Amino acid sequence: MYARSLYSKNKLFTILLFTLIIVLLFMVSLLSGNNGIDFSDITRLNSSEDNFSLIFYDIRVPRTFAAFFVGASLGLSGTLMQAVLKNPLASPFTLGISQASAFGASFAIIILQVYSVSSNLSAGFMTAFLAFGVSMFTTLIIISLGKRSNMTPESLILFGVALGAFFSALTMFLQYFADDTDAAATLFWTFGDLSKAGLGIVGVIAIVLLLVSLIYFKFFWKLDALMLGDDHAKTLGIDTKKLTFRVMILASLLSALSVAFFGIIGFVGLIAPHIVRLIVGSSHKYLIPLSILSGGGLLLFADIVSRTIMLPIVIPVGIFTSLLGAPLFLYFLYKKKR
Amino acid sequence: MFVIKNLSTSIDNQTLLQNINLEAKSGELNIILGQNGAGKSTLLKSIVKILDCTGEIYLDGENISNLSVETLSHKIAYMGQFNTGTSLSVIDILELSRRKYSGILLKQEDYTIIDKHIVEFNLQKFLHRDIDTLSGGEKQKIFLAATLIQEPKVLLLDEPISHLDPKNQIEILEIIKQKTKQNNLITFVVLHDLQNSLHYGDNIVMLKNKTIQEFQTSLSVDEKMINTLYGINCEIFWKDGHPFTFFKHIHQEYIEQIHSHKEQP
Repeated sequence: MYARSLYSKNKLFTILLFTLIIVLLFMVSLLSGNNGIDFSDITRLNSSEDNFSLIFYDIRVPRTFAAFFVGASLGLSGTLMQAVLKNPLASPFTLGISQASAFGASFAIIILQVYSVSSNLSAGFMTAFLAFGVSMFTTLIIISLGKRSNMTPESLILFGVALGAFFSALTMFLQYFADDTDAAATLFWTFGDLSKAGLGIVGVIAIVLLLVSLIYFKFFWKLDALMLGDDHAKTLGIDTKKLTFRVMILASLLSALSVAFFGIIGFVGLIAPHIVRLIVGSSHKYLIPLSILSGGGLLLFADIVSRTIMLPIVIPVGIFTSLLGAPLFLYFLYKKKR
Repeated sequence: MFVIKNLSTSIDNQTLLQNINLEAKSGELNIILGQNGAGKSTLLKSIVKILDCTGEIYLDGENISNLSVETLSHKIAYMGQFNTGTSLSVIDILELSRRKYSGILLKQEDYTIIDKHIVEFNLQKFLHRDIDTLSGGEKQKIFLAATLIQEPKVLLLDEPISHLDPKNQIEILEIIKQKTKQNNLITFVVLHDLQNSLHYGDNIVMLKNKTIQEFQTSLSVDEKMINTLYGINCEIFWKDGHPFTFFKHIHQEYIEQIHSHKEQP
């Protein structure tokens, strides 16, 4: 009769369409390199001439997968934060979590001197570990302060912005006293760049993403209920404080992991959910799976452009997402007001 | 049977309700009346644990004051006064009401209940509309339907007819009354409309100064009680066995010059 099955047909079609676009972007990404997007690469791969297959499997494949999974993690992270903080401005970047990571990394490089005391690989890990630790710590501060003082979601965002500025200042302070090499290393770390880590790390990120997205089946309706207000959600049987706490932890885990290994990639987490909302509305039934796909697609696209737009120079993708993200976000805000 | 014993609520050291004691029977519609800020909404919110309170609440002999939010939600449904804007579709909101029982995969039984209420409330043409695009009155009907779809034992409604036109007001009050009898619900409704309260309510709870001033059957409410409750001058007339209220002017001296009266024939 009136009530339907779980998914409506035309929205399933949207999910399919998104998946197709991702597959397409995957192929284009694998085909783009120093010569731009080159379709003859397909035949080169089969002929096993020169070192091409080495480049292909060691550089392009990890990078492409990194783009998808990091983008997807950031997209899901942004969606979850926006849901529990009931604010369309929430994202790892606006909450100061990304800036906290950058401070953690700078601390490792400048104060702990990880690159001069250990090998490149373990230094990279130490840096990522500190970046991850500081950002998770910041999340805990934000959540527990919000919980204790009954802060409104709006004040939490403002607090996040202030924390972001605070950590940026701390990072600059460290850089001011650092020598040129270390300052350059920290600066380079903050450029979000997808060539920083190999398939192993990408695999870890993919597994965490998969595990976190499994909660979808238990949580999506609770996030919908939260949109009707805390009072309403409670009477629908939801312990709102517990839900907010758990979801924030998971969302921060996703973004902290990505930022720790790939640097700051702004705006993807903020924009991916907005694109989806414009297309399918705000029910988390569709918003969660689609913002995973749109986040992944967005970063794949941004990465292809940043690799091919200024050949032979490859721009770090973080610079490009922020360049692209600001006007795009403005556009969505404008469109929504209408 | 629903019993409240010594319920008190305070927020930030400010007492909002004090020593509420109440006994309500199943199948009866209780209307809560009182001035603005008397604690009517606070009482409903305390019962459903949106606000923390002290005291005890019993439902059919079981102490429900220490139940978790989730277990409590299976017994009590609440419709608040204000709902924040969302862009969920109407059907999404109706389905949400069953998910505390069935999770993400609704059962046939859930769909049957939802469908039944869609027909009863005449919601067929709104189903796939974004709730934000509907009028205040339409929203109220939808949220009331969503509340009833939860199949509670106790029904708490905070001003459910405030945005409705007279015809819809009567329709909704009739549905509330009928559901209360049919499903043997214990219903509490906050209203400001004295006429409708006396007409539809079985009992009237009068809240004043953070506590209960009167708890009476609606037919035994008299002028004195209303005058004390609201601080106005009210007269009650009876016609066909129903009480009708007439409010006298508060500022008699200004009004007389600008107010025209029809001569009695």
